[in-house]
Amino acid sequence: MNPRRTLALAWLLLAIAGSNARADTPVTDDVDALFKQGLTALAEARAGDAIADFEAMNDRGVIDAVVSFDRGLAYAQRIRGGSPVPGDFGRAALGFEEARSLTHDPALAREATSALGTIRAEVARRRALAGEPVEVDPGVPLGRAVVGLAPEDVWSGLAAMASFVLAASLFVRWRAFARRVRLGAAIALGVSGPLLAVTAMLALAARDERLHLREGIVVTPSARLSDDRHLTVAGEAPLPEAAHVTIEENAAGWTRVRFGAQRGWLPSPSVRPIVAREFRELALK
Amino acid sequence: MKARLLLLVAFFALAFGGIARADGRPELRLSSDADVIGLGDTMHVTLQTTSSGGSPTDPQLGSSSGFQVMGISPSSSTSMSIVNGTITSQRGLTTVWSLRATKVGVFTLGPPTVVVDGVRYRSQPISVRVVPAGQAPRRMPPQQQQDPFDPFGGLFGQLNQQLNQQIGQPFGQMQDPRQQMESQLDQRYALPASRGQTAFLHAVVDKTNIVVGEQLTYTVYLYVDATLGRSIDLNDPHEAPASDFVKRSLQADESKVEQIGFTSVGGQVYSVQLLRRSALFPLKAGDLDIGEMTLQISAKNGLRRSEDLHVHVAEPPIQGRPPGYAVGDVGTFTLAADISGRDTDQDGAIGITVTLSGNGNLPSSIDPPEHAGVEWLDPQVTEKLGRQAGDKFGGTRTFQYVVRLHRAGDVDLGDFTLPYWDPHANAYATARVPLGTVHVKADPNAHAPVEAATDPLPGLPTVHASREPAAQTRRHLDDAPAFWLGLGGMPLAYGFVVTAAGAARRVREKRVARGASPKTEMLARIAAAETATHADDAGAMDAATARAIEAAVIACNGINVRGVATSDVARALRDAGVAEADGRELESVLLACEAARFSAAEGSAASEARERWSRAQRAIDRLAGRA
Repeated sequence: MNPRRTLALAWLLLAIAGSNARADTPVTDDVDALFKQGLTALAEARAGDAIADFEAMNDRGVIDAVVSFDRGLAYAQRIRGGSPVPGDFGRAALGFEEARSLTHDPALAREATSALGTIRAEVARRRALAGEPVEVDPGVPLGRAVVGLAPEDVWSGLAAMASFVLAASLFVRWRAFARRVRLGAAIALGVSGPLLAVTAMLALAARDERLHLREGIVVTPSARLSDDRHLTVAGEAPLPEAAHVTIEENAAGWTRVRFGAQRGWLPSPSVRPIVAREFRELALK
Repeated sequence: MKARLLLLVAFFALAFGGIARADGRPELRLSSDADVIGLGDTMHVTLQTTSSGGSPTDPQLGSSSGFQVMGISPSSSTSMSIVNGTITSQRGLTTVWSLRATKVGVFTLGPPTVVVDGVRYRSQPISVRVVPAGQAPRRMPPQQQQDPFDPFGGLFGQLNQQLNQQIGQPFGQMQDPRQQMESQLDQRYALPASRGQTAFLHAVVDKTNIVVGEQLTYTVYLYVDATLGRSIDLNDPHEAPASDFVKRSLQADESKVEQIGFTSVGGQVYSVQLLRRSALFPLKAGDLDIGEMTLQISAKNGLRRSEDLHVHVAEPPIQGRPPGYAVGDVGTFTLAADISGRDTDQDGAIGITVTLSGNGNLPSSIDPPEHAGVEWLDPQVTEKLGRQAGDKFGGTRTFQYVVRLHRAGDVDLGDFTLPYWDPHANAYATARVPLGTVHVKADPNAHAPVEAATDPLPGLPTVHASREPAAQTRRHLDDAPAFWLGLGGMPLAYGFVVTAAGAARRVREKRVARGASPKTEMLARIAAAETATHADDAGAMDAATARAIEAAVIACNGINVRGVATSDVARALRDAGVAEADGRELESVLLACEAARFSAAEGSAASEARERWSRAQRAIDRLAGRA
């Protein structure tokens, strides 16, 4: 045989062997490969493998609504498979919460919201059977609800407009001599002043919420709140798995959370923060 | 000569007689640390046996009436020596009985016995008097008791005993204890200075930078002054908290202190004893505190503390991390599996035993491979963990699964995998064991898969197969500082404009006011007169001089001489406080100017007019105090 051909064949065999080796050992730093592996595992009902792949993407800093959504589905699949691991409900809820928060696709947001409802309904059903409080999501406080009535940029735009009207009416009232004009300026002044104060405050609150509000999901079954000395608070009902909490502070392996009227410390591994869209935007910068 | 010969024969007879005795019958020596003790007190009886034949065994105290035996502590030793190519060995057994007096009176203890080469040998009994509690004489310290086997008496008594235990010379006849001590100093334990009087604790870790889950070997040594000559009691030990670690002991028995050598501490000899050796596995990343171990010793200021140690713990790198890796799985692991059978019926079960072995933080659970129709029941876990070679913690953990197979056919069970971080290779690795295929015989009566009947999460959406494109980075209006500046700036601009307008008006008014002042007028008139002197118009010069004088008088003295007759100017100025000479001079200049302007003679000389202005200027300067 021609030596060149022999050499080429040897190289080909080595290349095939190398490709086989890579097939056995996934290229773990390729996030797209991980995503495909996760999808394959999900399709083959290998929820554990799918979870491992999607969590590995998470470890590598991939922030993607679809990855979070599929991760939630992987945990849900393990629950449906009949062999759930403690915390699966919470982690499934976390995936759907993140998907809802991150996505720009309204359809995906609706699906995530629906899945979230299914997860929380099952958690509530199980808690009801155990005789425990069933509230999993206490909703948002009134202030945040008002801030959430309009997007942040709407509040900002209204504030800018009110500011302009206020300034203009002040000048007109100063320089105008006609009585009617001065009266009109005074009325505009009376309206635009309070409007500026309110809308600026709402814009500021919306911005603060966007940048500083941190929310999380309880990912352990029945997490018990502790006080400032990290002693379990007697008489407080444990927080349900998949509960939506507000994260107030992290310190030395503990996380202070607020859940409705309840407030206290949980071990940090019991709460996983929801990655919000703004964090993705910050990460992209 | 005969006498000398006899002496020589006697010497050899004595010497070889002694050797013969040593080669045959073992030597037994009995001692006690007290012969009079109080009721309830504890004493120790020690039997030392040396044999050049077989090993001494089965020590018995014999009679112990009046005492309660609290404990017995035998320790054996072997020593070998090579002299001129001949190897001789000695075996020793030291047995210590701890006895507590239970009755008052005189009692005989023993005689203790010991078996050597199948023969039981007997020592001498000892007599002990027990007196009522509190009436016993104070015991002599051990170092004051002369030990015939210790040529240095109590000073090196304990040291010698410790050396004997370590180097296998039971009674120290062979070598000077000082030489033994010096030859045994171990520089690995040397310290520049003592951390406490008599005894102290010294804690060390084998590394200070590790990853979460990696073994950290934590050791606490007890250093005791080797010249102390008495034992010290160790009480009330408090372990180092190490609350951020999982702690596993690397000692067979933590209640025992192990003598490991001698060393030099600040030029002084200390015996080094191993108090604790533990494997610590950090639970989280960060700068973690191990804390300090404390105990009380029977000495002045007896509380002793070890160092408070800290280690830096990081997570293993993200780069190359295999899917399924759980932070904390660190070590070197292998997996093995054993399957009870490869044929079963549908809905039947097989047994699978998976053995995880290795060194490090062995995970408490491993995820079984998932396949449709394969149900893994919770495993039964057994473990055999402990100290391994090289002070590593590890062993085996066995998971016994019962696996139910719901689908017929050849079922590939897949692989058990365990990704872990190998700190020695500084890389990730994966332990893997394939389980192979099981043949499941179809059963027409088999149940349908349970999950189809009772789905706990019905109606979940389907998987999304394509990732969402990254959104464009978007800035919000209120992210720009200019937004907030503009928001406040527009109303503030009104205030600024109004304020600025008011300020401008005030400036203007002030300027006008400043322009009408007598002093300003005076300066303007003086400037005008100066300007007039540059021309040749004497009349204009005189007029300007007169106006300058009038303005100066108003500015400096507040009187207006314009309405006063020129001949009365000097008097008016005098009345106003002006020096008479100055008043007269001004009046004179004014009269001269008036005369020059209104005289009939035409063409008054310009030079004269300048002279009048010069006079006026000097007078004005004096008037204004500038002369």
